[in-house]
Amino acid sequence: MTLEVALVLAAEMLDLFERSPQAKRLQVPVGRRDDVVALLTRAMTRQEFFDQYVGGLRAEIGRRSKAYSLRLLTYGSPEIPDAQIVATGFTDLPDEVLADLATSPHALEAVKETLFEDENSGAPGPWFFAPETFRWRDEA
Amino acid sequence: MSDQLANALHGVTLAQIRRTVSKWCRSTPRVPPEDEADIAQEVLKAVWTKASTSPGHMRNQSDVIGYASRVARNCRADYFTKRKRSRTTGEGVEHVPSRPDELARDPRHGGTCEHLASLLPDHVALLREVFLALCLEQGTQVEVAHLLKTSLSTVRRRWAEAEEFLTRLFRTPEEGTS
Repeated sequence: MTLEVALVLAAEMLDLFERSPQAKRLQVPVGRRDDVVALLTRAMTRQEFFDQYVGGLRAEIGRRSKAYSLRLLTYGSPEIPDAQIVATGFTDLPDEVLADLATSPHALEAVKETLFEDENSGAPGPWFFAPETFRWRDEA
Repeated sequence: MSDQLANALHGVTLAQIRRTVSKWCRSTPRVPPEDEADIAQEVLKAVWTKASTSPGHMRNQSDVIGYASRVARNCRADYFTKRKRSRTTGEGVEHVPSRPDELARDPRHGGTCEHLASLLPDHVALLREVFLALCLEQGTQVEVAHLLKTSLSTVRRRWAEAEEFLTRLFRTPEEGTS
């Protein structure tokens, strides 16, 4: 999951939502669920990727109309399941939650803060320490 | 960076720490780039001090980055507090409210927390509830999450959304829209 692929995927989700003014929830594009899980996992375990992705996402949203960015900000997004994310990562989350997290800079920053800075949230589960998750340490 | 220092920081690079600082300084409202450099120095100094005097609190990369992030957040808050103080004493640059509760106290906006909450979109009940609870200082984010029976990340996110929404609302045309 490169940054470029991640941002294209985010743009695709933003496009889907923008094209459906009546939609109540963001959607994961058909067949891309695993990619969104990979995107979020990478964002939560690699600081550089997180910074670049969130920066790119803000820019992508900024390119859209003011009305649409306000809709994204206030559309009544689903609750963020902290405990589940800390314990098992993103694999088992509903599509609407995955799409919401991957397209909201505020949600990503909130999850990251909870994961890394909340002393009460406990240690992350095995997903966080999986070899493929932590490969970035070797890359650094 | 010396080997000794690199070991104390578990391989975390100065660039990584600077990026952590940037994350805080570039959130809305942004700390000007020239002041961000000062905050970065302050954070680096704090991290080095902590790593060398309390290695037990710096057991891995996450500890180091987490500590740097906490210090950066506090430095950012201090920065805006100092700006506010300098404005009330007539020194320095004009204060830009950094939090919605500051907006509420700013007579230019004639507001109270309740007034600002009423400006938030009414179809997202939790956005108003979280904002109002935190603005009125009815508890910490953790306590508000418990009170509203929602997750801590949701509270953090709603607060940030309310902050951005109100900041946009009060932004003057000269300040742009991005």
